[in-house]
Amino acid sequence: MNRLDPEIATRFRSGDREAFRLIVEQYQNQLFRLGLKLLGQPAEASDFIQDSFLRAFERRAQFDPGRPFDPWLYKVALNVGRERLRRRRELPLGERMPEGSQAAEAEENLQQQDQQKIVREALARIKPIYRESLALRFESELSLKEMARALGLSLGTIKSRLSRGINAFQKAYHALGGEAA
Amino acid sequence: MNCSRAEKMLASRALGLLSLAQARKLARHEENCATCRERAAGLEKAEQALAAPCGLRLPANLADRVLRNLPASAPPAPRRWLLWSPVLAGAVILLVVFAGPFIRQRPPDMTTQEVLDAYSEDIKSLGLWESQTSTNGNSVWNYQDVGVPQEISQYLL
Ligand SMILES: [Zn+2]
Repeated sequence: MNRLDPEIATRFRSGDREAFRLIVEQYQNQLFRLGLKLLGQPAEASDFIQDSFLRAFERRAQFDPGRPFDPWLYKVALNVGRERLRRRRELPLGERMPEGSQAAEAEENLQQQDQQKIVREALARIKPIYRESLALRFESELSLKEMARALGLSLGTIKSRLSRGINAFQKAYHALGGEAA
Repeated sequence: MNCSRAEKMLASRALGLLSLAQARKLARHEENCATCRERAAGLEKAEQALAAPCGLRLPANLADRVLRNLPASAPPAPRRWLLWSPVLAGAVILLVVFAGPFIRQRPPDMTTQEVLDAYSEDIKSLGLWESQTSTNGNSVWNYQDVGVPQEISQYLL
């Protein structure tokens, strides 16, 4: 577990930019991977993290320093992700962002990248409520209770969404030939 | 254990949510059930795929970029609200007190939600709501900012 130092969280709440920078540095990779799972496209995931951090900074007064920081940050980020998905649904197909834009640099492992494209494609095929739960489970260090709080759901609901989600993902992944590698 | 119970547990195991005792029971079922073994193999691959590194890396200067995009001066919270907060808090309490009896005796064709929506429209038409909405249209109302502790504020509207 690599949780945020409460002192940094308190400084962040009072608008300390240096504390905010530390937060960006600590969470940017997790949020990027979360964005990739939620939105599917590297360029959009890159915009997603910037929007999420800016939104967190704007709304820092709503963060309760008596509570852990992570669930709050993820809640903010999930809302940003939902808004982006909503906006994307309203865009005509031609104006949507293409896969593989240069905003995120690719590493050399091409085979791994192909597999991960299939993962993202399979995630895009399942219900958004399942996708969100799986993305949080695999890309955050939140406990089930914290996930439930971040998503505004009961513990039972989150468990059932995760369980249905992984089964739905497995079927989509299999259908796309993802298990071959 | 039957297969439908095992199937639920297979999903839990792939999600890392199974206790050791449950995992042992499941393993015993799998020993005697080819269908569940096959299902388990599929879920294991799905789990590995979801947990694998994304193969992409962020631009190195992301933190700088985010900080550059912050508003130039960063006030800790929109001050204008603090002036209005006690007024709105009072209005909400009055609304709850006075609206209560009407909500219980609402006309049979209106749900509680519809009655509340009607009141919220009234507040909007009086211009109270706009004063509680920041320039980007996002509500930043927070009871804690006006000194109402979290233990109490969670029960307030
Ligand atoms: Zn079985």
